[in-house]
Amino acid sequence: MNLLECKNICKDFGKKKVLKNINLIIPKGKIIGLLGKNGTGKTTLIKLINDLLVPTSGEILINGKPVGVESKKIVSYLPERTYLDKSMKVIDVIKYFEEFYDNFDSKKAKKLLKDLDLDLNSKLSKMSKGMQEKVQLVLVMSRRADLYILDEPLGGVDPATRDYILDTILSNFNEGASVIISTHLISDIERILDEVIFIDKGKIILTSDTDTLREKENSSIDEIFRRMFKC
Amino acid sequence: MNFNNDRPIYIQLLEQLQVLIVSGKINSGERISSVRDLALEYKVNPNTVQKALQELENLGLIYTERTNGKFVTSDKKLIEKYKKEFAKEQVNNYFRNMNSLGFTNEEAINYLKGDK
Amino acid sequence: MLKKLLKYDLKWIFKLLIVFYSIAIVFSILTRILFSIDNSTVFNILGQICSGVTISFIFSILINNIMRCWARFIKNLYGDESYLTHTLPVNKKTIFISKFLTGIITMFASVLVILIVLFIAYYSKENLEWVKTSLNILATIYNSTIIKLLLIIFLVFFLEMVFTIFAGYIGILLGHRSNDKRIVKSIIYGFITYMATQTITLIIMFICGLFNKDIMNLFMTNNIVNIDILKIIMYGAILLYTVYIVSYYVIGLKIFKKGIDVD
Repeated sequence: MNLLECKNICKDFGKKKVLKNINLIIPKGKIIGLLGKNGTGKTTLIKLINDLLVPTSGEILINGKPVGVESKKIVSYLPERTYLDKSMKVIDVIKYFEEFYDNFDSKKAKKLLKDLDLDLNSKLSKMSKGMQEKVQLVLVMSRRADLYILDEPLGGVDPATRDYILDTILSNFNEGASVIISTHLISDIERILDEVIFIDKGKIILTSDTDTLREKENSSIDEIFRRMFKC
Repeated sequence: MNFNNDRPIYIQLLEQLQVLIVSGKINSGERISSVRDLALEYKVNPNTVQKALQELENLGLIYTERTNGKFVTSDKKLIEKYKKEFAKEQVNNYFRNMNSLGFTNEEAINYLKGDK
Repeated sequence: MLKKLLKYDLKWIFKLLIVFYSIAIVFSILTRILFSIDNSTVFNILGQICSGVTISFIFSILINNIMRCWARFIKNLYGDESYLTHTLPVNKKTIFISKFLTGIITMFASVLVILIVLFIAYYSKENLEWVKTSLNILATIYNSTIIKLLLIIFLVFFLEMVFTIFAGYIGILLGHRSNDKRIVKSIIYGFITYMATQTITLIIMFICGLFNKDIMNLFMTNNIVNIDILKIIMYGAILLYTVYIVSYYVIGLKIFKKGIDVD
């Protein structure tokens, strides 16, 4: 059974058609790049998978079942914005995750936070946006999930942090799990990807194994992407 | 190690591991790190590592012991054979590059000997 | 899961309300003390000031309770935090019930505190007599009956406040179905919901009035009120508000279960 399957997904906002007939299959055990320029529908697709939007038409199946409580148990999602109650302390948020997610490993979360020099007792409202994003990444990666969905995890961070984030993703995702990473910063991330999905103007225009694509085009994914979407 | 994004990562990783084996940095008979560890070390996808190791196994440079993991072959002759192949490739590369500069093969050899 | 959600919802709302509760109680005690000191103009003036502060805090409690319930509803279900709320492995229904219970529980606590505050600050025989005259009730009625009546009035008031919160929820749910100007539309829809339901109440009252002169008299004249009629009206109001609250819950849940689009 496929981990995630999108069948003929369309999403309109009023008259604006943001996603047009998306068909997608994500198997188990892959790291997949969802690549596209800003505003092409990447986040909309991710939000649909996470029940934050209702599709205008089409069907999304996770482990063969429609989006719902069961799917939320096995999907760990990092949105592109800060989504925690800022009046909470880091330790409160860990407790919160512990309470709601059976597969949350609080020991691991605490260890990762320590590695990052983040204080458990500081209030989120007192932390910079970058620090809050790190806390969120730690929380998301500390769940033993089947599917990790990371929306722009590298946006707006310095190169050193970027490396750390990639390391964290690589070393913490559950064995046998899949990871979907949406980004427009391709060169930083392409070496860890199994597969890429190019999305433009609400449509999927290419899905391929990364090494096959490199071999065929004799160039990096980043270059292929640039060539394809030359303005 | 820095990979070049222009070429398939698994091939670059394969080459890297081959060099480690023929140069003796990983000894014949020695155990190879797990897929996960290699993935972390080279900062690549575990599936990429898997693919590279599969290729190495196809070449006969490593073998799998069911429960213990993967080991470098103890067939030293085979390793030696690959070492020579790589050396030959390097030499060929050298001649090709010298040829493109206008050297004949003989001139290129003399150049190495110090006859400028 | 409901318990856990409710815990966080209540915490968020009470965090601020507790402050208002404490201040109101402190000032009610001050009012009591200052008014009980006889023959002193200074203390009397101070008492009046404290009394004013107490009353204004009673209103603050109500307004803040309602506003904070709405704010929580919007923030938690449609704002940034909704990215967490809606990805928790929890039923939509459970999330929704938690928000409704939050409205009921917090408002119950607030009305209770207000009752206590009023009791501390103003309870006395003279004031009960004053209530009687201002309600135009026969002055011979026993005080205990008046207290009962007041409690029933408070129950109606509590339901009215809960009803207001829920009308707001419905407004927010309707307003957020569109893709732009969601807050403005929420306010408009909420207002329409509230007014429409209250209009129904008036119509029902009027129809009852057509059949019962005493009820009509209550609205049309300044005659002395029969306390039994007043009670009947209050019971009617309790019934009506309960029906409204339940219908809001059912309608709201139906909209919510269809799924929502967060920003």
